[in-house]
Amino acid sequence: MSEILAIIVVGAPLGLFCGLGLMMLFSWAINESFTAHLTRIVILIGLGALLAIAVPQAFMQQWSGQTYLLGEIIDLPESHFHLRLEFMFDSLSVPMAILTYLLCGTIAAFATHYMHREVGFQRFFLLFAMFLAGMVLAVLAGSIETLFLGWELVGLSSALLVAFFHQRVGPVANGLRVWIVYRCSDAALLLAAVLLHHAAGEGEFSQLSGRAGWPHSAALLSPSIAFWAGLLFVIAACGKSALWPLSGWLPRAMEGPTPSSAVFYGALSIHLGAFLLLRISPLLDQSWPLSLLVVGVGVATAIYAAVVGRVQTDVKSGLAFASLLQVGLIVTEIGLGFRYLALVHMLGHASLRTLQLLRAPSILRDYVDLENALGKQVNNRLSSPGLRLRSTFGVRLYRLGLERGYLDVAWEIGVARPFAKFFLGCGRLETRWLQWLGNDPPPSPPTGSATQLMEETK
Amino acid sequence: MSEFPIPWLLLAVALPGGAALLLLPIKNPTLAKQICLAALGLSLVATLAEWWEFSRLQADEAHDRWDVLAWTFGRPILVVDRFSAPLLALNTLYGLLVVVATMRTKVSRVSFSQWLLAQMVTQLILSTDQPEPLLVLSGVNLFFPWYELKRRRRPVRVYCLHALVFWLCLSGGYGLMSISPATSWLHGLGQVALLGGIMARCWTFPFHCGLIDLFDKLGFGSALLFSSALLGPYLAMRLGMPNLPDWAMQVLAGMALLTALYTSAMALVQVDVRRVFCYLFLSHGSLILVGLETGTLAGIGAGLSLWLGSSIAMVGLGLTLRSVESRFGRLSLATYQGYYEHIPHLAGLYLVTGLALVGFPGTIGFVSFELLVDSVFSTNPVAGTVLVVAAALSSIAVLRIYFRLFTGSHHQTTISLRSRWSERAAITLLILLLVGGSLVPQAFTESRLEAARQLLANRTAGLLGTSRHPVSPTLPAAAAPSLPEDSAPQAPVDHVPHPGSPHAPVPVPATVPRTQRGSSSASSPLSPLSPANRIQAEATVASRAAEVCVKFQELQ
Repeated sequence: MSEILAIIVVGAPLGLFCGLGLMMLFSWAINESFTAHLTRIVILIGLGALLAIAVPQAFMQQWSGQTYLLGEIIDLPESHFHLRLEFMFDSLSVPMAILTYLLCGTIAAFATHYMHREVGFQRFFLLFAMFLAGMVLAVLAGSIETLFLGWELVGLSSALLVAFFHQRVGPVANGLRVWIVYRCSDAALLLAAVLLHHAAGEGEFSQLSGRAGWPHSAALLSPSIAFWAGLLFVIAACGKSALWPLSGWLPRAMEGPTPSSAVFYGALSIHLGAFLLLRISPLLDQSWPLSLLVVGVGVATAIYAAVVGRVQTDVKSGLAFASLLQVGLIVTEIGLGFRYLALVHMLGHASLRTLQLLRAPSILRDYVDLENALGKQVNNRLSSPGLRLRSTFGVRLYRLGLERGYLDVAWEIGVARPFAKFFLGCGRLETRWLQWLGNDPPPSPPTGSATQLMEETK
Repeated sequence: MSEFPIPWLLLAVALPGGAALLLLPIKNPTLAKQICLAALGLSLVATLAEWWEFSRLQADEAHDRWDVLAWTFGRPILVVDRFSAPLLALNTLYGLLVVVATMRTKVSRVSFSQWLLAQMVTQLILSTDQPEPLLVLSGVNLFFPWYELKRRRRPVRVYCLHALVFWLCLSGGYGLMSISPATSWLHGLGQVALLGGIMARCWTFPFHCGLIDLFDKLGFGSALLFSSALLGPYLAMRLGMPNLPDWAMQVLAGMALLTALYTSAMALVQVDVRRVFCYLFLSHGSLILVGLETGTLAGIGAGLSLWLGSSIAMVGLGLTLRSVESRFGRLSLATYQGYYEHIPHLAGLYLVTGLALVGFPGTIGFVSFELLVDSVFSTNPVAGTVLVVAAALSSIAVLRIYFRLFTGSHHQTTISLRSRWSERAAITLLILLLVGGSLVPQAFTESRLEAARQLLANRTAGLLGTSRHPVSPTLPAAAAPSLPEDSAPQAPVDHVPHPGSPHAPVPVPATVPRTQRGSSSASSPLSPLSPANRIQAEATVASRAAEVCVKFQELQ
């Protein structure tokens, strides 16, 4: 029975995604209310099934969790290769999955009105369903491969939702930037998965960390393997949670519609990296340099977000950096070994931030209402020490915050430009080589150019 | 060798050929297209029947019972094995889809009879495993792009140079290896030439420029038809694998890896869509080749699975871009085009095929790519890492094209540019194939592993000189590489010696026990321990063990 419930928990959002996708593929005319109702019903079914598993588990105090093998994608024993759809309902995954369903249900209800008569209404809900499916897969994953499946779905839906308003260049360019960071993060996760597979012969979390259950489990790997695999996991988490030094994409991601910003960058997606670190916490226990690294990344992220967040001038960017500050603290807690504290912090922060982001579009109206109720202007004067600009240090810090820590510039100068320069040069060489080889004439100047006009005049 | 009760192979080859002859006097392009569609449709049915029948026979090889070519040449020419059985159907499907997706405005510029003839020759190549016909047919196949270039009055010099290098190296190398003893320098020269020929046809660096030139100058459809069959890796498996020594396989794998990384990075900085597509094509062709050249069962199986999966995605991607190009002209990525609102279906198909190409979850390429990374990583962790980086770069290039072509601005037009029903049918079929294929990865991958096992057996037989098509054996029998335990060929009951074959069926060499995970990769060309070295190491270990035993007895 519980296996059927587990299938429902995981399968409901996947079914929603496939259903909406097929309807769009075959151009079936569906109206907004049908899509909205379908989404709500599916979320309710999934949440109900999850609670049906979680409540008895809580009563029986089975905190070490239950693992369900829902099928093998592929099993090649002779090649020692398998991909299993394995899910783990334990004290880490169940609260996070409940939060996912609750917040996604709230956001779906909000988006029904917020996106009403928007041209891409159906597209939004399709991507939203993809995100929900990916998030549920990643959170409940019992093996590294299943986590990777969900991780990729979350990444793609995020990038496409950032570029949701796709008739403008800004959102699209930012969507591509998010995708680039996510793909680097995906590559690190894939390598970590393969490394773990080769080191332990298994990708299941229960096999990797023993049967004691989270967070008391201990890694069954050598410290060196734990360090290298953990390092790749940290890189993956940095990309997904916008941890320093990969934080540059976060404010850019706010170009998407507010509901998607809320669910991705305030509530769920941004915590997925921290969740991954919690899931692999036995590896952190195994290698103290890795724990130190995690603490360092967390502290750096928190300081960065605190400095940059103070000088933001729009509410969504301000909230984005406030989220990042909290995520930095959560990561620090994980590195220091406070696993339950980090989990509770994550759940509380996600809920608060969702509320703040959903209220963000109407914040001016809220102020007007507040001032009408008070009968006077709200005292909004900032008294933050960070804004005292009299010292040179203060000015420099202000400039640093305004330029978002020069992170984007650093990546651009250090990585993007040399990369583009080198390969553009290779392209030019190839073109010349082909021209020489084929004895082709050099390419004609573009039509209507000044050069052509001068040639014609001669 | 098993026999097909109905000559499916002959039908698959003869139908396009016959239709091509029928089309010669026909001047009406619409009628020509319809005849072409009918011929390719029937040919697809024949190849699917051949595949189904072959799976039912559970044989290693099969040929037609009523084979006209066998009567003519005294031996079966059209033979399929586990490796080539699905490739025929796939190639016909590609041809059919290219014709279906050809718009009416472009029909008058296409020579359908030439496409059909090219299709026939490709089918012939894919349905033979004998070196001499392969060499001749791969030479004939080079004629069609040349003819098309001439017809379009485009420069042919680069193409001719590339074709000449490829064919001379391939046939010269094979010829030298056949006539000279294994110990002579001529044999070594032959190996180098054969390797060069295979590298040229696989478009590995620096020969990749040939394909870029071809995509620039040829029509998109013709270029797609010429390249989609991946004849380079096919020749590498048929001619290279049984005959080339380990060092040559290592070079090929290394160059393929370099090409994959280089071309995927180049795809990111291009502004011409055709060029980006060409680089993506090169990158994925190279990824397949890396898998095939690992020399392990899992690696070759992964390469073959990726071959089927990602080539469907690649053709889908090419067709989508071709359909977009036929509406808006040559596409540029220098600015945002914003075509989504006019052609949302094509945008969706582009995204699905592009993601399938990079092995995104839920598509046919996912499991194959995972298996490929796993097997290459177990052979050489650096190579595995490079593979992942190359795929990540490709996926960034795929989404970059999507954003540049379909979004970012508002494109205004005075006429409807919606996709036609035939395009929608092709789109739906491809999406169903790409997504549906991911639902049955077990059977699909197992069948490719069987094919890999057969190819490994062919390699052993080729190096021992006991192949059905032997050149001088590269290794003495004692030094032949042993197959990993899991790659031992399973001789079927109905496996009888090939008519006219001087040798018995492939012998099964001694197996090596797998003591630990990844031990089978020790014989891999990517591995630092080559088979010859490994045998030497094993001999050293054995002699040391004997010495220890003797000392132990003396002590007692």
